[in-house]
Amino acid sequence: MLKIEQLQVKYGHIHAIKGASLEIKEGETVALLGANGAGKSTIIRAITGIIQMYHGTISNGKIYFKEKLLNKFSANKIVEMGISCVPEGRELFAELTVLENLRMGAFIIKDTKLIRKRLNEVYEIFPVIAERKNQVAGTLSGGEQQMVSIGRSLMTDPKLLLLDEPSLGLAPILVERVFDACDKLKKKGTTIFLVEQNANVALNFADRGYILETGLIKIEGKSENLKNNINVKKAYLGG
Amino acid sequence: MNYIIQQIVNGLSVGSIYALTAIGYTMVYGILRLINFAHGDILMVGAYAGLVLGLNFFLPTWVALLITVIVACIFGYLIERLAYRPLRGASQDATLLSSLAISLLLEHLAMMIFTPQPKAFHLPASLASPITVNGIIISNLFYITVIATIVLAIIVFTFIKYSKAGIAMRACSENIIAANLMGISVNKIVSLTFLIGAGLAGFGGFMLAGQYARIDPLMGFIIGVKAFIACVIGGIGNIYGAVLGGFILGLSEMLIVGLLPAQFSGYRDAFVFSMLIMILLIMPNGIFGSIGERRS
Amino acid sequence: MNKKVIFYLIILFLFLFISQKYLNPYYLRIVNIMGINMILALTLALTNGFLGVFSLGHAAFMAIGAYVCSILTLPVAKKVIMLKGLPSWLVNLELPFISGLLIGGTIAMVFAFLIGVIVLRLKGHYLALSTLGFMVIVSGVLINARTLTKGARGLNNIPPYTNTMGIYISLMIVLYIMYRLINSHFGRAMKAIREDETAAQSFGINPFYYKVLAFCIGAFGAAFAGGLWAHLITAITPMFFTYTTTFSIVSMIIIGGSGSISGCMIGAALITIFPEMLRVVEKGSVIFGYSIPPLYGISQIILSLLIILILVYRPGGIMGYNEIVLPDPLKIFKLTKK
Repeated sequence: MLKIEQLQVKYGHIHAIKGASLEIKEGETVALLGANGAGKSTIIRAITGIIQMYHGTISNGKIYFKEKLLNKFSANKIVEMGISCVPEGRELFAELTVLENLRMGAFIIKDTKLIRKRLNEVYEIFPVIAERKNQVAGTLSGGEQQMVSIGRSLMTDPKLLLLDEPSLGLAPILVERVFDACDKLKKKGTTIFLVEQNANVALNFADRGYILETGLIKIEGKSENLKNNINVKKAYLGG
Repeated sequence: MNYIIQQIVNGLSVGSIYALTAIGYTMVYGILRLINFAHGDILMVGAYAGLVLGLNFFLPTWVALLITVIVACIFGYLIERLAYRPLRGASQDATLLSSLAISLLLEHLAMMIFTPQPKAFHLPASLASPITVNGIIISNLFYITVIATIVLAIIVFTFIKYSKAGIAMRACSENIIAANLMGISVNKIVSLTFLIGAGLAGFGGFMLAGQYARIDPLMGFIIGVKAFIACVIGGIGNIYGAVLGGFILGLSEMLIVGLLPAQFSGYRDAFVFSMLIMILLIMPNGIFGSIGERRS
Repeated sequence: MNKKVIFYLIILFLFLFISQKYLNPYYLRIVNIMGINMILALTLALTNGFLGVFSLGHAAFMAIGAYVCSILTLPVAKKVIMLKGLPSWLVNLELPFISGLLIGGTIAMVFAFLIGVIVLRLKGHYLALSTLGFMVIVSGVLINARTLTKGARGLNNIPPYTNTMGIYISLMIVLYIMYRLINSHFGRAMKAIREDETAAQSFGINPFYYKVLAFCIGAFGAAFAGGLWAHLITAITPMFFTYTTTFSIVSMIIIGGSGSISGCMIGAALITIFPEMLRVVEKGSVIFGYSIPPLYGISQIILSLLIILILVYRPGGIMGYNEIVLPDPLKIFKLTKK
């Protein structure tokens, strides 16, 4: 479904991604691991078409989504194509209510009945936010905000869901809750691309994984194999 | 006492113009963090259009007003497309300079086409002629201006709060990166914002021209700058603040000028700017608080 | 100073000396104005370019310098007639040119300090707007204090003390000062502040101190240039010192490259020469049998368009952050000897 070939991304003169290739098949859940600064978020930005907002450019390489070349498309076109992203740090519209945030997630949908249907689906997956729907998003707790953020991205019923560091800044029990909800999505059959620093949680959740180190994919494989890999264990799994 | 009421009337009158212009300013600043120095000049362009294409052909006043607003909208849209969109993401200084360049461009273009001499702008006497009521000079245009300003402001507030495009505008102001990720067509929202702001400014320009019965190429710039001061008073990025700030500025300006001895009336603008500097020192976030610095 | 610099200075002053004596007055005037514009551009670059502080008030300091210097150097007889509101000690004061220039500069510097301390804490647009406000205030005072400044009519019959050599000697001094500033601890601090203010602070650099300092030095220079200007054109009005003029000066450093000394000078040269070339068009002319009506203000329109194009396509200006390196003449001679 998603195929990245020899991607190179630069921020000015800084060569952030030096030639990364990866592939995600339909229905899979794939994790991208790596230390801080390895370039994981850069890859997400490149896929979602917002790399220019960070003063970066795709200097080389190709990104394919369902056989279509993604490189030149604008961000909102990419959402229309069926890719949805839950950004790192939630990035909610803090002054807007939860409901308004969700409605914005459904911006590209014109049919109000469909929007209502999706809203109910999201409330089912995250019952907590149904209670808070008229609350200003910035006043929610970290865990609730993360759920709103994911819910927002689900409004378009995406074919590919990108999760950028969903565990960031959350207490372990909240991380568990968030990933439990994401399990429901997995069962539904949504293709998920997970970017995570927390390798343990990520490898328990995903089928396959890639490890990114200073702009290059160093290791790849099935989650079990990665979990048992000595180097991976030493560098990312704490021994 | 009458004198003070007269100053209040004048203050509301000019305050409405500031308020209308300030709405556009603050909406654009909210989304793009851009100060559009050319915003005031759009007011001027609209007024000239209303005169040259409308009043000079003896068309009814409301038609001339419509022409003014439409031309202002067109210019607002074009300026964004041609001068600001290519600079999206550039440094603040670059966009500031660009807006200054457009401002000068419009002014000199007007000076070139219409000469720097002021031109008469006569609305029908039923609207514009001053009537003395209890010793206070008011024209019907005054009532129309203030009421129209309040009505238009309420329409804009409602639009921003409840419509999909309005919520999208607020979303873009909040977090433009997330807005992109949600599939919001930010370019269209920005264009819409400029269109609305320019239209309101054009409306204000028409009213202003009618009140003073003349227009000149430089009339817009100082109004634009004062409208920005109004935004700062109210809290930049906040549309309620813009309207409130506009009226506060108008009233303060007229009351200060009115209460000072006559030889100081030329210092009007100097006072307004001194007020700005004071506000920036004491209350830089304005009354309603300003929109925060965006994360880079 | 090394031999290369001396060599070029000698050639420059020879050229200027000959120009002052023999050059057609029209061209000489352009050379003079160019020199003053270069001083203005360089002093503005100190705050806007090298420090990244966006000040729109440069013309105000120029105005202060122009008016103060003129009032101080005007013959007593004229002052009694023209400026009735001046206190008698001022009326009876008639100072030599250089004193007027220096005092004008100092007074501007005082204003710059007062304004700077208030306004330089602000960022971006607030700063730009406040400096614009300062200019409006100065303008307002000049226009309205008629008994002190002759209001909108402005001052005329200012003694023509400025000459080409004076201008260019001043320019050389300004260049020297800037060169020393930039290649010193001060200059490195400025660069750090421009690149990343927060990071600079963590190195113990106090950005505020440097901003105020640069602002004041820039103001002194602008006022000095203003005095030179007043005594060249011999007539000044408050309307000249508005944001159109500030924009012209800002354009010089944008076109030439605000981070480069040679860039500022190139920008100043271009902005001086370009409107002159267009003056023909502005008055109305006949080209190929078609008569073109006077296009008042066309140079300003073209300038504005040019600025936008530069901002979009080449924001660094012509020179970016580079400098022109003049070839070493002695090396050339050595080559020809072989």
